Amino acid sequence: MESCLSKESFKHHIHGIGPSRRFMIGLHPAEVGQAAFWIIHLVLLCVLMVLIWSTLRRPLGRDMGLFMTYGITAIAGRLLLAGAPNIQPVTILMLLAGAHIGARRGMALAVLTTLVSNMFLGSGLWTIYQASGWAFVALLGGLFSHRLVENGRINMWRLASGGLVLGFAFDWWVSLYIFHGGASFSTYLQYLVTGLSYDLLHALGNVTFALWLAPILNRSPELNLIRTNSHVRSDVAVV
Amino acid sequence: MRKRISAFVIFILLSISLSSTSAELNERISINLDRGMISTAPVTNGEIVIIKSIGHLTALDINDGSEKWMVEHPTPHFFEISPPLFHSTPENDLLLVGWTDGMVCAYDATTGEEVWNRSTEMKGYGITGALLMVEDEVIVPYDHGLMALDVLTGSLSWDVVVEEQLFYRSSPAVFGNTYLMGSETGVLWEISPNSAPSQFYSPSADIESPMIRGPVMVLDDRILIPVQGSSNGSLIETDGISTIVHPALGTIAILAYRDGGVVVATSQYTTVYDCETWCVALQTLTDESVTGEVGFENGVITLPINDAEGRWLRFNQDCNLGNCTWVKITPLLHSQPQYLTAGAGYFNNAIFIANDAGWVDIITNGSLSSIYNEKKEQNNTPEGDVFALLFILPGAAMVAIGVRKESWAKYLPALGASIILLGAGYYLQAISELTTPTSEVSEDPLRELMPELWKGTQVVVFEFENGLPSRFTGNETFLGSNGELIDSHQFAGGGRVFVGGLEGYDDVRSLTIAAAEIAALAYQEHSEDMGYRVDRIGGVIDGGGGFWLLYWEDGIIGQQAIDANSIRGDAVIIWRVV
Repeated sequence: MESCLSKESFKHHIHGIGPSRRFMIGLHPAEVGQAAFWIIHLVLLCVLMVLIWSTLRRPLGRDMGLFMTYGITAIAGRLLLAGAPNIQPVTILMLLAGAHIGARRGMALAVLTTLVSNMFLGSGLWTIYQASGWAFVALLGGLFSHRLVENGRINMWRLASGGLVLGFAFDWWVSLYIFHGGASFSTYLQYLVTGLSYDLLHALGNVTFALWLAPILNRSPELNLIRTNSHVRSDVAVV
Repeated sequence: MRKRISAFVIFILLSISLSSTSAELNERISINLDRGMISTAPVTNGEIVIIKSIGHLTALDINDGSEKWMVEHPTPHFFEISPPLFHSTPENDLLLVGWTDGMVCAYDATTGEEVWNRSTEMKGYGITGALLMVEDEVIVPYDHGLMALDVLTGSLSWDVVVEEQLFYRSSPAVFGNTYLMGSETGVLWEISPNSAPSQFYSPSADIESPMIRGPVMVLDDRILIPVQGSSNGSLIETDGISTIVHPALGTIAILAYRDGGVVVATSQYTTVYDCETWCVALQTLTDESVTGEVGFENGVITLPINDAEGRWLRFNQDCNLGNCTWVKITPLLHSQPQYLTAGAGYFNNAIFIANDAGWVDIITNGSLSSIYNEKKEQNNTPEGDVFALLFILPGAAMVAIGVRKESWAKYLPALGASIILLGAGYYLQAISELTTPTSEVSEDPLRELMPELWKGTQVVVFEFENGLPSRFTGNETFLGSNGELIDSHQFAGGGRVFVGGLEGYDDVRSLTIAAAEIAALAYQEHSEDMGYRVDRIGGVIDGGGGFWLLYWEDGIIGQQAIDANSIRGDAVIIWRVV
């Protein structure tokens, strides 16, 4: 007999975010009713539209290609690695996207990636936390683009360090949803501690993706990171 | 340079800390006999376990699975389905075995030496039915008749040939002073040493190509005859005057009987019948293929599922307010999944399971578990260390070498990090145990309520407002490890069942399963990627009505899968609904 929680949403919970080991208490508040499910998605779609609309003030041009590339890579990477425990490339790609195509476009990409990939992995209350978490990562990418990208080249070690820290931070942010189930702060801390090993895997995964992506992206003249760097900063100012 | 050295040192330290944590312990011994298909359940005399495979008998130590002796008996067929039979004599234990070449042999169970043998003429498949002990004689069903041999000497007492008939997997059933045995033509023969065999039952023309390939069942005044056909089949129930035909489509497995219940399994579905009086179908258990040895012991039905991912489905009875149903409990999974027909061997300290792949799995508990775990710890810790270093050292070296390098070498850090990530994934369990705080002392207040004799043992408490069987409702009940009632008194909060005095369980899962079995509570679980989750205990269903089954380990809420971490030797596990 299956539990009320669908396997899809359980798997999603495991692989989509960090604290998979915390499922004994973590899953229960994650369930939402049908109405809440649609409200969550409508809200996220609205946020996505606003972000995309606001970016259209500046022509997308070649950034459209980059937007699509980052999006497809993030969604495909997340789906393909669904079987690996909390290892997925979305966090590092959102950091790069923020630095590369701008904070607002990066944030739009984060929401889009979350919505589309969760269509396959299962959606629930966690979708809001994931979308906002990855959007914040993209914002940080935009804010620190001048540190991540120097002289038109991605600084591999800074990107890896950022990935390491954000691996933990993202998981801890997403874990906040347990408060919807009435968890106390001490339960939350206990919850974080038991999921540390999975957070570590997320962080190590981010470092690995950073070490692979940086040399590859630095080889591509198409990326024209110097040009991007300047408009990214103006984009961040608008945000 | 300094950075490279620092990185290298960090990873070396990480590798040492990871290596010191032992790898996941497994409560399972897997043995590849490599002696062909195993089609019959392991049997034991309490000291050794006998595995019969094609042309081989293997005796394994019941405690640690080590091989005690092996006998080879080349046979012409690629299967051996007549189960071995132990017989104790004043001098020694004899092991009686019928082979598909038509020979029946008696072996000394201690040494495996042959004590006697007797050949029968092989017209079809030799001996494929189960031998039967009747007083000092062993009754041997061979492929065209039945004979009785003196069990000590093998000398022939009587032999009845059924002309122009073949028997396959048909075993003799005692019917008064005669024996009943079904043939490949679907006819049930009554065989007596003093008279010519006679037809007891002939199948109707409705059944195409009828065959009886299994023992019939004699129930007081009625007989159950499994007749299978090429496109249809039936379970015939007759008292000699009236006959009832119960449909049984597909290949029919060996019937199993216990306390008025009969399990009729086929390649298409399995049904439990209540046969206290005329049989009535109670419940369909599964529609998966079952064609072999069905088990029905100690209230548990065990079905060997004969498909590529073969496993043993298990069911026990869950009674609530007088309504009983059979519910699925933890299945037995084999480490080398393959088609299977052999039943499971339930022994005191372990379950032995074997399949067509020729592998034997010993699922341990109690003393066997501790013996085995000690061995595994001794053996695996050094290997585990070396294995962890295989991930960490090359990974760290690659990261260190590739720092600030150009050309191909700039990908070395990425490669190194990938190897380390792989290692971290492999050692996830070990890392989890490092990062999960464990309580050093038992703090659960319920300890104070428990009997003194449970000190130092493992205890499981089921504390439910609703969902406990009526015998536990409104009471605080204390059950010992053998199911004995230690104490019971009124309890205001629904019901609370303590099962204590348990030892040797390594995780919450195995302990809970053992306790649920002792308390006769239905237990269901399912496996997820990160471990097992409990779906049901007793009448409490996880998620039912928005409430959830959670466990507390020594007073701390459990946040991991029930098989995710090891537990203390005096752990108290409390199951509650929240």
